[in-house]
Amino acid sequence: MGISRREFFRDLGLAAGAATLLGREASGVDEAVWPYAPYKTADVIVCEGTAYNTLLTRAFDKLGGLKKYIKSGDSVLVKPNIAWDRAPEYAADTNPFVVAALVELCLGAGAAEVKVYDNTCANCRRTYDSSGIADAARDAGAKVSYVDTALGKTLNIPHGVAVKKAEIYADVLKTDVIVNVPIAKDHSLSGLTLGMKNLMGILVEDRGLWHQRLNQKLVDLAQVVKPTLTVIDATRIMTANGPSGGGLGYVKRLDKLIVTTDVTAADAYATTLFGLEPTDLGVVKEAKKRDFGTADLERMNVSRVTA
Amino acid sequence: MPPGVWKWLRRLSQVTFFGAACALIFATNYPLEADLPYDIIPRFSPLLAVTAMAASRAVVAAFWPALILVALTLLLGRAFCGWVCPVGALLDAGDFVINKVFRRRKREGEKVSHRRWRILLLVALLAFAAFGIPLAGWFDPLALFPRTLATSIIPYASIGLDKLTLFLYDAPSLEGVAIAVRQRVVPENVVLFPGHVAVAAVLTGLILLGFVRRRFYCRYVCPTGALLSVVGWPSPFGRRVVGAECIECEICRNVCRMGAISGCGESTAQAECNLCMDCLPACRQGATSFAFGRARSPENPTTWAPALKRRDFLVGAAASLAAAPAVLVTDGRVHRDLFLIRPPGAREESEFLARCLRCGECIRVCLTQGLAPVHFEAGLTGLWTPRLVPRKGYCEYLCTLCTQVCPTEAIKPLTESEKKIEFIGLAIIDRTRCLPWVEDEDCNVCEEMCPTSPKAIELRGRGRLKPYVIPDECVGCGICEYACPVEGDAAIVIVGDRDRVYFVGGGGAGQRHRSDRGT
Repeated sequence: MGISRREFFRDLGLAAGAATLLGREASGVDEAVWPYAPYKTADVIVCEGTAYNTLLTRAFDKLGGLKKYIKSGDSVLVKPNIAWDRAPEYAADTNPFVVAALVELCLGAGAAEVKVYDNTCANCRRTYDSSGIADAARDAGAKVSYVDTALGKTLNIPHGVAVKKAEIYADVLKTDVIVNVPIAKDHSLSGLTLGMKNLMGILVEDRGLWHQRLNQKLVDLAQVVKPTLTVIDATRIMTANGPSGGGLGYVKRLDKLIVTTDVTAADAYATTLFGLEPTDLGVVKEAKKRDFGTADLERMNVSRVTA
Repeated sequence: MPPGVWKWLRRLSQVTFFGAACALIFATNYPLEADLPYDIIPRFSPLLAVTAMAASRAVVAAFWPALILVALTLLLGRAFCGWVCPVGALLDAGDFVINKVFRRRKREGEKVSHRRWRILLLVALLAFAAFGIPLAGWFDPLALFPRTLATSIIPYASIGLDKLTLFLYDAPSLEGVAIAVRQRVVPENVVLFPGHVAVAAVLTGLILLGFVRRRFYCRYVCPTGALLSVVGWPSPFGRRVVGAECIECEICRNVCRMGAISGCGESTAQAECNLCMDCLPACRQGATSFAFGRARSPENPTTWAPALKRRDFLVGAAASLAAAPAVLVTDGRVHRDLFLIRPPGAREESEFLARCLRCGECIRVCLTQGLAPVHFEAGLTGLWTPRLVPRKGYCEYLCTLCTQVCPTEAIKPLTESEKKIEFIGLAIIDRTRCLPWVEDEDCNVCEEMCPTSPKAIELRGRGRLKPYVIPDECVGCGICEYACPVEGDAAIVIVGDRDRVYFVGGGGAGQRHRSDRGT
């Protein structure tokens, strides 16, 4: 369906009018409402193995099936960590095969489209290519695009403790379901970078300014942008020199995935992979203080699948 | 073949070469996977070849295409100027508009002796090159054209497209189009530098000189054309007039864009003629032809005008030799800006300056657009050589694009593993502005961004963690300076001349420690 010339000029006129009268300042969005499960206890599925497709299918089945979270015709954002210009084996970016498996499953569950993007730290073109994610996700059927930092929308965080609003990529607001797929990595300031830290990839503002009172800001953001599902990629984890890594000596192969609907529970459980306690991680401590999600291992309903 | 056909063939050739040159420069972009000879345009210039080799005292084999041009010129005269040169094509287009729109009278009075200025410039450039100062790239069309496109036209066009698509994005039905275009454009970090304006002004000026004369630059300025004049004037091919049929109407003389026809039309300055073929269909008598054969005959006095008199030559050479030391005093080799960061793989400064053609290919290809043309930070003679401005765009750790497109290997090609240990600068923290140091705020952006392994920035301290630079690990990529959240100038800056920094804690800043970073 094309647009007629008349429509073209009408829209052009509207755009001109809007741009002159209002400027390009986007109107603020109050709370973004993405569906999420209530956090009394959390079901945490720990997958072990290398057949990611099978593992994830079984894990989602334990959570009630992926169709419970993705309605037919939904627009799904699979949000990996595509931050650094590194090959997959350096564990600086999410495993491309995990991303591809998720894309396939979401499409299989009836998603109208599955989008994959992240606001990279290193140059986006190199990072998308060398991480292997762009190719893998595109082959799996995803719409892979760069985060366009000029197209932001202000997300108000009225109950934010450290931050009251965030400039996020406008496309995120057109998304029905967010599937958060971080890789578990070392990070000098936040200790580890996991599920909540991964959400910083939808910000289009100067993220350098987020690093003061980082943990509080991360929880502020996660409370508003609640990912429907979080899948922590611990197939390889980076144990030092994070978050960019760069040496194979920092990488430990675990072949694990942590699947849950509760991002706090995901982060809390993932600390154990590094031999830590959940409260060793500032962001989990902050979430626990606010009673956001399930920070205690005892309250988690952990089950395992292997394939 | 009717005489008018040649003119159209020439136009077709100009459009083709112009389009190909633009397309090639535009394609000089990540990931360079098309396997094209991205750096070939400047390598066709015999002037750049001679001056770069003289200045660097080395044979640069990459200049083999210049030999093709010399051979062509020996055979056909200055056909390159009329049929191939992209700047020539642009000036022809400009002159056409100027003549049509402003209806300027075609007849141009001209002092032919002014033609010697370009020869004098050529002599001066050769003399400077002998002193190790190659300035030919400032004037050479095959450096000027890519430079202007790379450092000025493409960045400006990108900014325009950026604004236009943002504007279209607000229109409901055009949002998709805007996003599609932006996805292709936005990855280009669009950066403008003050230097871009000067580069654009030069080309604009050359076009506007068309108000004075057609092909003004080619007649009086272009030293490459001058060199081709010297090489090509005795060529066996050229314009011939059958004297018996010429009625001395002088139409050809007025048509000639180069002012190469003198007398009543029968006399051609072969050193000036660029074989545009305009005079062929203009000759109503059919007395004009282009042919091989003996150029000089009583009725065909092909002239080498203007002759460069020995006095001119000597004056030009002497003036250059006198000026050279004065220019050298301001040279970056004598006084180097501490913050001048050369691209990775750049040779030692003196050799780099000698080889760099100022063609802007590296600036074009730079992934982050952090490379900019310098003004005078590298001395007078360093004008338009590249420098990294990390606050605008850092050097991507594993990227080697600029090292792959340098025509003369002034920037040596690097592999990815060589790039990892290529030290281009050193980060220094300004402890009077850094957030953890003075504001008692958390911040690890520089450390987080640091791509080396192990990291060249370490967070240390009891309580509040503060960043420290490990000089031996720092390659000077500048991503820390780029990302530093402090407003205005960053609280961590890169100095380009590592050897002049002695005061950094930890010591060893002056030592280039090339540790193997492993895999």
